Amino acid sequence: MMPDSLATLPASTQTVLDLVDDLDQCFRVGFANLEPSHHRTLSTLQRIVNGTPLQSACEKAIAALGEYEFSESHFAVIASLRAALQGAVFDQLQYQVQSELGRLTQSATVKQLSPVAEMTQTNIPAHLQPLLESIRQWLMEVALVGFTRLETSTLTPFTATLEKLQAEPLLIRQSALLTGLFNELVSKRSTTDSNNLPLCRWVDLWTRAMIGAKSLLPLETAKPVSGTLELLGIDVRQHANLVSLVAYGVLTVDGQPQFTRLTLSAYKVDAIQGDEIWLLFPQATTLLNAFAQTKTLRLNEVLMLSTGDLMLPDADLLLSGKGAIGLKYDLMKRAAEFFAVSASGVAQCWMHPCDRHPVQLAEPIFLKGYTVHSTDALTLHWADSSAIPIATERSGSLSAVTVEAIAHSSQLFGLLRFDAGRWAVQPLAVTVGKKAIATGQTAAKVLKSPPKTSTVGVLRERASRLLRPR
Amino acid sequence: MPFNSSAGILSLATWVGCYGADGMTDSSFMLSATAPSGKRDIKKVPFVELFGDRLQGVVSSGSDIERVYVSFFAAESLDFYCSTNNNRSCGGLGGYPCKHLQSLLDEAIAQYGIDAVVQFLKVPGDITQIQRTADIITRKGIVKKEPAGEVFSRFLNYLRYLELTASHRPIPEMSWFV
Repeated sequence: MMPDSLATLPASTQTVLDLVDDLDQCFRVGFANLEPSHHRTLSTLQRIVNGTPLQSACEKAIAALGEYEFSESHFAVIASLRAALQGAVFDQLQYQVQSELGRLTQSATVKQLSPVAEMTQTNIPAHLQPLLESIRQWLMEVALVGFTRLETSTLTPFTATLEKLQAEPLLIRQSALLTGLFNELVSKRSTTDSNNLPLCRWVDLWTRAMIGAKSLLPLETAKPVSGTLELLGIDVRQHANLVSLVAYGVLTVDGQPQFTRLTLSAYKVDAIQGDEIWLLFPQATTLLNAFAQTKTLRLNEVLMLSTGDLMLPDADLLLSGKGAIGLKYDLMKRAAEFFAVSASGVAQCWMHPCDRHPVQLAEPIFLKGYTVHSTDALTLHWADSSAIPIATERSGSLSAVTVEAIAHSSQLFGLLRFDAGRWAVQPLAVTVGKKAIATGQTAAKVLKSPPKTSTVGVLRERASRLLRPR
Repeated sequence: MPFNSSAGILSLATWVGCYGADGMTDSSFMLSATAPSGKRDIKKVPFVELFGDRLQGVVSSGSDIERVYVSFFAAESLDFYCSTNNNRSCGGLGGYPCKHLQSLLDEAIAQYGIDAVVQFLKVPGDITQIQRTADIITRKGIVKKEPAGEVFSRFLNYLRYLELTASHRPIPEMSWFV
């Protein structure tokens, strides 16, 4: 069963989400074309931030925008304002889900372990300043024109900036985001009807991009940990030019289990799809082998960030002496032990305040005893009439957890997600019959015997022929 | 109603359409996250994209491994051109799209799906009648000579993605992409 209260939003959450929606209307028409209703929205927002550290910056920015005085610093303030609203929603919703699941104590402990003071303030190296400035400039132009009126001429000049950004490893987060946003704007702009824009999404991305172009995103301190890692699921996130594998699991250090994440990313091109994606991750061979066999990984001095994210070494775990494959474990049994609705829970991962947005909520959960209904949306139901929908919006092309698998499953491990005003569960692993099905189980096999010709192989050959230093 | 397993062949993405009509307006995700990707012939057409106002790309020469052709169709007019990357006009162009241009369209359809291609190109006429490459070709425009440089540098940039290194740091921004 599910706690029923997750079906209802806290009243204040809905109010804030409505405000965000009002603000987004300014981005629809463009700040150069604001109408009285939009100015009223901005005044409302001003009243909300009065008495907060954003007050004076907002006063300046909103007054200037009212006078059609445009400078990128004002747009950075608008971005901070929207990010702050979304951050507040994140906090409220995280509190809601963790209190319903009786997990508040554990996450409080983690917070004490990861004080904000541990974050290192990074100064922007001088050579990156002009790059970030041109990103802000472009974002301002997009905001001025508005998403409905975007023309190719506003978009294409950004390619040069984007190329420089992609070559800068320090700015990988900015690059991943802006590459994805740019691709969408270029390909969807002309084919999406203006009443049907993914407005909330694009303003989300615009906001993140502006924040990332204002300062270097925080680099948390990392310290080495040794322990036993049991992977419970892998989430694949991708756009045409970058793919991230986010693996979730439980790391036990000195008998203390904690929930952990780890991320592996690779640049790619859109033609690389399906199983070929795994070929981009040869450095994850040991990790993916362990997952395929549901065997533990014994980690040796692997870096862990204060957020609870593990950072794998650049080379494969086995090759770098940082990890070895251990004993077999029962994935669902372990998931049930730690993440069933009634379980006592373990220490959780933590989001930096800068990064808080409802899209980042990912509360691990183990569920069983449900029936799958498909009347209006794919939903799990329990005999006590509690229910939760499946977060289908998170299911990518590489997900092995298909509708069919979910329909025939008896139990699942997944993440509670929030989007479009409601909670839903994203299954990462399901049990069908006696078998656990999870995304990424086949990856090890693909890496072990790669096909003779692959998209990656052919393009690498083309690249070596045509990209030779000229 | 219990789950009807005859629907099981549907991909999960299909279920995204099951939201209420106003449900997706405040979603951080897109209605259809993944394009219907057919099997691409990457050897023949290493690069195809819907970019700006053109469907453009690079087609391998059938005879010379060192040579590639740069081809495009313009949206709306369906004007087209094909040349080597050194701006030598393709010999197969006789007022009609050459075999490189036809391959380019085939591969665009494999990559993005016929609907996305037809929509992007704003192909005139009854679009329900457009089901394959030939249906687009018959609505072609005229030969429009343009330098190959821009597309070719987009292609080199495309290849460059495979040489870029990403890190093992968390990238929370990827939560928006599925």
